Amino acid sequence: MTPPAVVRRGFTLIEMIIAFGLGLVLVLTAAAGLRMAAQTTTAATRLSLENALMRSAFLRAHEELDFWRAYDDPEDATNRSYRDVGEPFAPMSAVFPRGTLPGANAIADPREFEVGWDEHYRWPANDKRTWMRANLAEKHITVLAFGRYALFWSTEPQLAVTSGVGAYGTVPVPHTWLAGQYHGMQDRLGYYAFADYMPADALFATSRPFLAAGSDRERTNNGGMTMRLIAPGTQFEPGEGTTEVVKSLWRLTMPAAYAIPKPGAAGHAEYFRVGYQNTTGAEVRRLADRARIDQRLMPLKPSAWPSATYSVMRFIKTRRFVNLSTLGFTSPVTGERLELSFAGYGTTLRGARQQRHPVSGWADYDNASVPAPGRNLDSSP
Amino acid sequence: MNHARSGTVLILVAGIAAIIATVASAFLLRMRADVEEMAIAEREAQARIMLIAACTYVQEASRLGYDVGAPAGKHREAFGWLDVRDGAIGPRGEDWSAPVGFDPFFNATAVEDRDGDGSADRPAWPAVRGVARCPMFVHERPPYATELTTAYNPIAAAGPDFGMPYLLTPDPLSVIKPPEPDAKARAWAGDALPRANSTGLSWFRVRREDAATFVVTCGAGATQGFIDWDEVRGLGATAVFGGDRVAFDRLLAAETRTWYRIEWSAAVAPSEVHNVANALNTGSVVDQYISFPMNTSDVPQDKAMRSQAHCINMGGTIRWVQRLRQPPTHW
Repeated sequence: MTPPAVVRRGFTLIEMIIAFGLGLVLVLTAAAGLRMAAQTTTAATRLSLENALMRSAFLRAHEELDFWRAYDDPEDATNRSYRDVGEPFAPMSAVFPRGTLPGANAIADPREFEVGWDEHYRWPANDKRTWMRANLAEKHITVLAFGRYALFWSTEPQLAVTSGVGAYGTVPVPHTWLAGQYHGMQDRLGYYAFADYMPADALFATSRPFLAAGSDRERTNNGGMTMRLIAPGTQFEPGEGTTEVVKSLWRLTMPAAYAIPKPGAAGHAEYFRVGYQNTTGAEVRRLADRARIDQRLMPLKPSAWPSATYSVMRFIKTRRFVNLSTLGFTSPVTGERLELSFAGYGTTLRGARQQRHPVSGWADYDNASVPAPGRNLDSSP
Repeated sequence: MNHARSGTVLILVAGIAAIIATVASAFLLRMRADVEEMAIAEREAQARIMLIAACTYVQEASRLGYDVGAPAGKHREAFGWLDVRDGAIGPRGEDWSAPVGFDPFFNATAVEDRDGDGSADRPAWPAVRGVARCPMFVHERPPYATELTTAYNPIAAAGPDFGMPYLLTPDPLSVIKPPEPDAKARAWAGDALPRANSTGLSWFRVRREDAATFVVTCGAGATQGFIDWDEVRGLGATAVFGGDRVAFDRLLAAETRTWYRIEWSAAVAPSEVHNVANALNTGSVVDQYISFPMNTSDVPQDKAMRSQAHCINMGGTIRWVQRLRQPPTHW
């Protein structure tokens, strides 16, 4: 029996064209998908890299917020340029050491004659020596219509009371400690530190022997209050309109800001008029130029990577202690610059000083037996 | 037809698809790694929020939160960690007796077992060396919760009431209100049940170092602020973690913890702000003590209207914050 013939039938031309066409569409679609996937992966890699840099900058900004190493690095002697008198990381033992006033009188609590910064003293509200005795209505150009408040508080235990409106003789003064604290701290660490170290209820004034001429730090009004702190438009007082009397930190920083400048820039004893009566914005730029420290995240990065920076700018405005962090990214491809800003909360200046040994390194805290802050920048023998 | 060539397209497409799948897998893995790394940044932010919460807690606890000897339904007022009346260690109440002085809201006797050895080794909060452990979560409904409605009394844009600012509806309104049963009591009490999606995220704990300084620990994670398993045992809280030490240790390993010292002060912003009417008698040597009253609305012609109501803090302030590079022995 003859087997049936095998019918070997090929594709018709139309079938071939359709099959080739469909196959081509499939291959092209797959190839397009592959190209898209490759591009997506590239974009994702770049985004992932940018996100990683952003996270890293975010974490570094928070670390800087807590440890202040851009201003003073305990582990790097080349970056400790703020330890001289008038600068925020000067050791207290050098700028405002503890001691006792000469010329004590018999009417005052002996603790009134202490001077210098005591890191352990809490300024308790019940302690009379922390109470402000300034006349809140006394102007910088006063004729002392309400009397001489210098009789109640002054930096001098024995005060020879004189002024442009008459003399009073020498009197023992019952309260000297607080006047001494304000006078001593006003510029030993810069204005930012002055505001940081004084308590929240501080009224920024001090009472000194009358001095009609001299530097703003020494010159006083007729009542003996230092002009620099109360007279509008002097060094510390930003000159908010016509407020001619003693002020709190809110009033002082409503029109202006005190800042910690970046190393190498001036401005420790300066204000920046960034609020009331700031009409041009130039002072805001001046503040940023002086106080913003941009730090590069990876100085040795590959050239194709975005460059990332982070900064923490510290200033006081309207009584708020502002830590303004800014993360910056620049694309190496387009040159596009992206910035993210946020205000953070962390270690204060006083806390940062307590972190540091007065000479070098950190001052670590422990409490194994009793709270032991260790010798730090605020320690004073 | 050539069978060896009949699968060419299939092979090509399958190969390309395999490459796409590989690329997609790599993409997903990268995204997953990104998410995991992002969790570190999230925990850092969460812990930072806890620092603010802890400082606020210390400020409030200087005055509030004590019912020692209080009549039922009443609370007692304290006068600061460092009592503003006599400088003694607070918090203390208003009742004075010799030789104790003002009655303390704390007891220095050791009652808590820190290390799980069966003996008490630290006093209860708020005594010095005492610890407050505060796991944070969101209440299902906080006390006195109000609706988020923006405008209860919109001014009509047409009709007979056009332009009339009628205050027909109380503003704001409680979330729980009549005719719901016991509306007032329920609204005031709130619903303290934790919202499920807010638990196990963060906590803080505060150890009182001395009268006015505190060690604050900020945590982002689910250990609820227990130091270690020994403390969990010592405080009888093993059931919180199902008695599973391994599970607790895993939570501990995944957690972010930061340590700070802070100091509380009774000082608050002074009432000097806009007190003396500075715009009067400007440039004259004659002092004046005319003051603006609280929330003033009446001032001399051409003078700025001022109010001194910037002094609204009743809980003291935080004088300084210090991040610790390493945990202290006790926290």
